[in-house]
Amino acid sequence: MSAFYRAVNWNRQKYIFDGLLAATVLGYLGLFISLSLGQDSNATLETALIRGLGSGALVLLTVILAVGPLARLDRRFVPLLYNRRHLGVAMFLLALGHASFAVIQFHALGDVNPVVSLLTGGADFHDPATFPFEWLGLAGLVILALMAATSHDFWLATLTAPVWKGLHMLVYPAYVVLVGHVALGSLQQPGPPLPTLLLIASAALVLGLQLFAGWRERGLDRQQASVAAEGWIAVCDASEIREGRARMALVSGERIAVFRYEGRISCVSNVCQHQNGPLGEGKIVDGCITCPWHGYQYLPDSGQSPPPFTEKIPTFNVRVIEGRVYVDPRPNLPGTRVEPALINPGGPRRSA
Amino acid sequence: MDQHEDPFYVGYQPVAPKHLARETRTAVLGVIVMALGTGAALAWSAPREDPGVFEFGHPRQLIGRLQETPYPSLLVPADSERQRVYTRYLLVQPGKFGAQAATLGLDGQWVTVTGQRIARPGAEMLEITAPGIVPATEPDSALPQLGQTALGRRTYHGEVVDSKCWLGVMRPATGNVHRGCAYRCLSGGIPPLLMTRNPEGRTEHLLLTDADGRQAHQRFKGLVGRPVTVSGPVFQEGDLLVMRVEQMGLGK
Ligand code: FES
Repeated sequence: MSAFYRAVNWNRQKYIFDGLLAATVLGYLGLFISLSLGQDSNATLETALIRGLGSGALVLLTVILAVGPLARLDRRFVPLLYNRRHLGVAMFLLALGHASFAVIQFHALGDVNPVVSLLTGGADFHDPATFPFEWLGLAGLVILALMAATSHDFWLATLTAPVWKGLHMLVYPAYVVLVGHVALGSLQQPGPPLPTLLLIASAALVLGLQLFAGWRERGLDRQQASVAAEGWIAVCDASEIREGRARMALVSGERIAVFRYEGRISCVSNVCQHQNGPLGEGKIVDGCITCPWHGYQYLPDSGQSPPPFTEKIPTFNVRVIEGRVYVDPRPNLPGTRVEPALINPGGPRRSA
Repeated sequence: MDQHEDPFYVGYQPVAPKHLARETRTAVLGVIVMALGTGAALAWSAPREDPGVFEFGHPRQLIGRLQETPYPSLLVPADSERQRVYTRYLLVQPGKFGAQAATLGLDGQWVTVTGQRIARPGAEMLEITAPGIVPATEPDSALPQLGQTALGRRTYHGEVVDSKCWLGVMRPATGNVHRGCAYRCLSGGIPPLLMTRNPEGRTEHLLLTDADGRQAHQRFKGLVGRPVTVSGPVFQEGDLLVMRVEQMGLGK
């Protein structure tokens, strides 16, 4: 567990990101409401708001879930990952607004408390037409609330990485129940098939991207790490790795990243301690392996974050023989220093 | 290697390498356009032109004769030019409450009611607002004595709705999305209506009572928001159709 969490720097990019996010969200609501009210003189603002907030939250959730695999497939989407939790918090606020207005509209000013009414009002599981879709929405909202409340890295440090990651993997069950909420709620109403088609398309996008990105990485894993000699595994030629960059491979079921920098080779686990980002797609910046997702850093020889940070990743013993890189597939304990292998043992060694 | 040949950017760096920034801008723009397009398409596909009316914030005062059964209503004599002799306004309270308490003991009396009109073709309602119901003197244009005509036993398919939302307060006021609300409304005493379509496709409304002609909103609340079939003798009372429900079931 880290003794510190990394202070979030509010730089210009972040303001641009948040500004753009706020403008898009407000633009979405403005567009949705003005179209709803404009095309129907009898339409009411409350209903337009409920629909706009709810659909906006689901669209944003779809984007959030699509950005992960998209970033693995196309580097243009990587910068979106850095501030993804801002998308998450914005999405939660939209969902909360949707739920609040819906509870007020449908359950307030009655003969029982609105929340009691929400939970008891005619719940009937026998028939999709009367399934209490509100319960699914509430379950999704509770998960989103948990994630939004713990989105700050303070909680990542406090809860420990595995617990935090487990918690935030709940976004997938949340997505499933929210799709169910819409399918059993609003889509049960008579009307044009477009909303149904859009929901199917969004679910297909999320699922398809996840599967495709996973399949692509499986292919990558298979193609590498084939030759074994005395238990050590030949990964690639040192010359195939660009300076300051890495080559990823799968050894003994674990993803590794082999970095080349200043005439040396080091090998660490490919999995970032922060949120499992792919370190092998990162770069050596200021002498540290830098994760492409949020920029956590590790020293290449020891897998330790530079002080004052305390994250550690496993390292692997590595050798270079006649320009070929060999890795011992048994990981060292996280943070164990391993002497980097020299690419040209006889040649001049560049200073660090 | 410098940033230009091998661009790498992490969000906490103050500036992104130029062409990486440009590529990302395209990606972001694409995402935004898709999101806004989805919203526009969804808003566009919303059901439109529901004929319900709710004159929220514009109360009117009506003089008429109160009738407590089967559900509270006010019979207002019509202008003499019109063919109809009176207009019936079902009465409800603000929120999800019927007007049973407010009209208790006033059956047959002439009163002035202040309220906000809720209406749909063929049905009128008044949501009582302050100062509520006050006694009035009987006007010259008297009301006819209303008798009931028995139309015989009938079976209808349709949906049980809470009359207040359905007649104009909410859109949508049917189906699963509105089920929780309709349940609450009936629970609070709002008169239950059967919304049904006649063979010509026009919407008809029947006020539902129990088999003895008494109020039965509590009995119908579990049936809201789904297709139902109801059977029983139907009575016409002026412009009002009332069914004394003897049998009810789910589905068509
Ligand atoms: S996953 Fe966030 S920094 Fe690596």
